[in-house]
Amino acid sequence: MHMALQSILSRKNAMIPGVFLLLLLFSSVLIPYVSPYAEDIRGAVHFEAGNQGPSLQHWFGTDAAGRDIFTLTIRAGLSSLKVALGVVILAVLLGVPLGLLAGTIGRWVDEIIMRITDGFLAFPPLILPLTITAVLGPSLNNVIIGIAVSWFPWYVRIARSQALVIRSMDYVLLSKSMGSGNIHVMKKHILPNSLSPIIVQASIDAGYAILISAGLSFIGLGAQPPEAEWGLLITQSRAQFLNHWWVVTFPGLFIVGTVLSFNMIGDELRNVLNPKLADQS
Amino acid sequence: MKEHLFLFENIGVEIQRKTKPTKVLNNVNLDIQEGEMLGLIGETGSGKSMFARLIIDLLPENGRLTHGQILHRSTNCTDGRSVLRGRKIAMVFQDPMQSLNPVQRIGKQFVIVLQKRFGYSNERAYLEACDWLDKVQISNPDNILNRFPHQLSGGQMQRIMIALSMAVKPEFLIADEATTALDANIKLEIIELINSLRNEKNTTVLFISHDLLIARRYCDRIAVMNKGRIVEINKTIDIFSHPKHVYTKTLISGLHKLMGKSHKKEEQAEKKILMSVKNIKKTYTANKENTYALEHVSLDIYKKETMGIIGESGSGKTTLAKIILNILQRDFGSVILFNGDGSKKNITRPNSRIGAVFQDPLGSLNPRMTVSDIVAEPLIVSGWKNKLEIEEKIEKTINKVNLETDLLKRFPQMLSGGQRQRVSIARALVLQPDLLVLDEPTSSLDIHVQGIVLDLLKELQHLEKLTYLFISHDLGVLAKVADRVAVLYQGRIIEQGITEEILYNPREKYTEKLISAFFDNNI
Repeated sequence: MHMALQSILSRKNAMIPGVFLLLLLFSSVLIPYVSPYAEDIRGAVHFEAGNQGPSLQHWFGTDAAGRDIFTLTIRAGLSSLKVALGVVILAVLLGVPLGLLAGTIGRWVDEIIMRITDGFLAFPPLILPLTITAVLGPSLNNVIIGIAVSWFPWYVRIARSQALVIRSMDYVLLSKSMGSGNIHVMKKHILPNSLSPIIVQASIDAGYAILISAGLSFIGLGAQPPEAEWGLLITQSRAQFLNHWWVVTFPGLFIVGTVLSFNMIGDELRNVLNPKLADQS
Repeated sequence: MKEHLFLFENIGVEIQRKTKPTKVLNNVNLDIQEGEMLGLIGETGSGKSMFARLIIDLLPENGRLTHGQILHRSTNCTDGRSVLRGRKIAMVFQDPMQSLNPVQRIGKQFVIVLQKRFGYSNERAYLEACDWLDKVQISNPDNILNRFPHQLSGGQMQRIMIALSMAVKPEFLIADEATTALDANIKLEIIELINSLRNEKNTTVLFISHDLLIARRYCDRIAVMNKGRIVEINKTIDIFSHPKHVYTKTLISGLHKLMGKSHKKEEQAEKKILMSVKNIKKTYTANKENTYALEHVSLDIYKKETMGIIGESGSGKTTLAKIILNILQRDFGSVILFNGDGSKKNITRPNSRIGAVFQDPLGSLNPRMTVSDIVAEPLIVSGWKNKLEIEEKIEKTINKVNLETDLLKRFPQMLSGGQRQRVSIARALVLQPDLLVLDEPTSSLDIHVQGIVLDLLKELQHLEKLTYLFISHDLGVLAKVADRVAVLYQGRIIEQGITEEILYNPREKYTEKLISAFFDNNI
């Protein structure tokens, strides 16, 4: 894993998005301490400075309430990264153990787990997170739960398919011939050898989680004002979009950049972790 | 003197790996004469296949020709050999399953090739295909042409590959390990087929193999390749009677060793039974059809002997091994293990007194575990806790199989084939079992390494007082190591007895066929 990390950082296609995400993380943490408009994050309004275009004082301009869009957009990166990480961790923790159990033990355990996850997969991709969040009540944390619960079946499927392949490998048969049980086989053989596709899927999903959470915030189910969140920023200012282009453009660009970055890193990870390609390039 | 079909002068090929280029072919000079069968012999990784790919201009993307030139009938064709491919040159690869398109019927694949080459109509191409299948001795060609590759056996697929390659009427056929993946008797039939087609059509053949015995029987001349160089090239008889290069000499002496002329028999006096396998039956059910993998299989294994089991693939050898190891449930029958004091037990769960080594050394080692973790696994599974004791035990075992302790931190991918198989053996030994089940332990190794591993197994048997159940499809290996042999054919043991008796006095037709195939091969 250490070697994989090293080789991914040495790749150009992964370095640029990696640097972008790290910069976003640091600046979103630091922005309340360096921005002259830090109180905007906590909900301050200055109507006298409303609807100004990008300038040296306000790099991304201001919205109708006179809030500095640059400060808010950067700060919103923190909630988005929280969503990305939260969704992926939750979905992996929920999905992978179930998938490993289903694939390793098989028979009725497999049948029960897979039929339940199939039930989740039957819903269209946006409907289920939407319903769950609506039932739990609108907030960013509930968005994370909503998306994670509707996505964990994918991890069940990946982990199961890996387990099915690996459990018939010679080293697993030999391990069984020494008398090892299912738990040992899962921990020592199946899990370490199925990590790669799970990591790849997780890094790509991180980007989509941000996209969905921005969507949910846009329709009012996610982050609540005065919280800073890209989807929320866009929905608050969408009425002014035709007259003041900057109010939606900058948060939108950040959504695109972040999702793209996660996707590119995922793609590169797939290349690095693929043993067939490891020897080349 | 015959005319040169191909002349290779001073060839060098490099592969770009990570950052630095590796030389895979170095200063190769070779002439291929019209109408001959030239053997190209070498271990895996010696550059044989790279040479074949160079000829048909299909080097991997990161490989390139650095210097040298290639003449085809005295015209320079160093650049642009791709026009020859599929017209003048055809190739048969090792694995027919991977060479045939899995989603197209066999007939369609013939039609595509023949239309492209000769512009035949559908019907004409189809008739031609039937003709070719006839020539490669496939019965009922109409039926076969309508099948998909996965509905055919390995031997059938390789015949079809040969028919496909010859159908374009090439003047030059490259057979890259074309018989390696096949069973002993099918192997002979296939090479016989290539040979007869060659004589009929006057095709030149480059026969690439690591199997010296086959090359010796069929090739006119043999070129020996080692580490990207041709170290020796000569008439077949001369190569075998007067090898000049050191490497050729070790290859040939390894061969003599494997043929096992000196067969020693001692310690036959004490015959205590260790395991008794009784009346095993196993049925696999797929698509509601029952296939009998094993039927009424019974055999006794005595202490400190090597019991050999021979059979072709699909005969149920591996199923039997798995049942003895109790990683596969049997439908019926018992596996009885005897203790030192004469008491006995029918085992139904994996037992620490039985260890196992499988065929594929890489597949049987977890790529995410270090050598030391791999060897420690049986200890941990059986409840060893003390770290120091475990370490000590690992080191001792690793030394037993002649491996250096500094390999312990490595991962299996960083080891050679022989080293990997020794790690497998160490893992099987670490709990000091009485019985080792060896399922084709040397089949995927080069002839040279094969000898080393067999010697090691012999030595260990003596030192550790081990009993072996040695499963193989290779009569040559069994003749060397086994005290007794059982012949497994279509899930039944049709014959068993002392190795010499079976070899010189087989009672069953099938055994006779196996043995004559083997001896023919070794004349």
